[in-house]
Amino acid sequence: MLAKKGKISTRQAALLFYVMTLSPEIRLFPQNTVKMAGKAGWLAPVVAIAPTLLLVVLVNSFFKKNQNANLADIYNIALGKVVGKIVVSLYLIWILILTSLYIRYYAERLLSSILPHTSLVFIILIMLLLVFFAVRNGLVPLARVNELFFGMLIVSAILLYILALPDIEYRNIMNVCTSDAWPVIKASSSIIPIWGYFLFIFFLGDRINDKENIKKFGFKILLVKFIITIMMLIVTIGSLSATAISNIALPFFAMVKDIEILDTFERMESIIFSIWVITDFITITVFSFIAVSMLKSIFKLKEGKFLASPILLIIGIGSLFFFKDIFELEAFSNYIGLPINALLTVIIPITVFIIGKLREKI
Amino acid sequence: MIFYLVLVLGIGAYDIICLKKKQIKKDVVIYISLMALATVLGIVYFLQTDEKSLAGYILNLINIEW
Repeated sequence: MLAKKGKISTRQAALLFYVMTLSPEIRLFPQNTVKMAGKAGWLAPVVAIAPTLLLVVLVNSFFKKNQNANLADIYNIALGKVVGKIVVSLYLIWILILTSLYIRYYAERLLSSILPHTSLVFIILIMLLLVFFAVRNGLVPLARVNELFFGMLIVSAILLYILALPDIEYRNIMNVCTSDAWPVIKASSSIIPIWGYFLFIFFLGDRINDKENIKKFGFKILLVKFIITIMMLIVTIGSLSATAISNIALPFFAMVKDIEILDTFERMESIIFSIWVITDFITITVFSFIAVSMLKSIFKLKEGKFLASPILLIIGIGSLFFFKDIFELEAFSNYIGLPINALLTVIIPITVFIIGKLREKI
Repeated sequence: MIFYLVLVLGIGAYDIICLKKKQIKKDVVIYISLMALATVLGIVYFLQTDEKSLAGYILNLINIEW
């Protein structure tokens, strides 16, 4: 019945959130948390979970009075049409930049690992074509295929963690003391902006049913995310050590490379590679859906799916135009991306909520 | 660049025909504006001679070394 209306359930939206945040988590969390908190970096999700749960409560409150709206509509209601549209336009510009960044990261990763002699433009073009067909086919098929991916990802994550357990040296993660509290709080600042993507999903709010369950499914998915993330940090820091992680480009990938079963089965990194491509595809497609939805809301358009082609062309050319190499990408995501994400997923929604409450619109 | 322009024109023409059939004028205007933006960005990218990217300029602007 949900599929007939072209809408997905809140549970499916929560699963989309889970999968789309995996790629930046694998890339950013081990190195960023260790840089700020050393061997206590694995505790950062414990601090990050509280504000993210509050964000879920906030999103839930946004939709209490307006069950059929999306977040862009709610911003318009809370801030007034003009200010609301300006704020949503800022979100749109950022989503376009973010999607360009994810496409470029995906292409650079393939280039530096398995396809070193392939043209960058060709790799980007293939991904854009896939995303184009996914966006044209609607959100329901994507949400359904994502349910399959979610199961696969959970199983492979648990499998990798179990296989990595023998490599963990407990002295690499133990001996955490009270003086680590402040660095751990600081390290959580690189986790919250990524978990804040939960808010972005609700820019598709008009295509999500049963929004009265946001809190229920939001809390559940965050619990799963919390466990999987903390396990990822424990196995990575535990097997590589904090000192080594700060000098490796992709620590989780390096940790998985070291896994061996009975000295026979190795090269488990291929699992991570497929996970990465899948999550990149989901991230880029969901962000493209969000960009289309925002444009539809800003200009009050009737047909959204036609916008997929210009948006994907802008994103594709943006990924080439905006970033020169992987170093620039990393610097941009760490020094500009994370703070802007924090602003858009935490500070602005809280401000909008307060203004909406004062104006008695939410 | 020629491939990019052919791609933009091909997709653009097909989509506009579909949109015109549905008789949604406002959507066509927004669609053409976005396609024009994509074309301009593409031409600027393919013709640029400067080595620096946009992200590089922003990072330099706020004095971040990487």
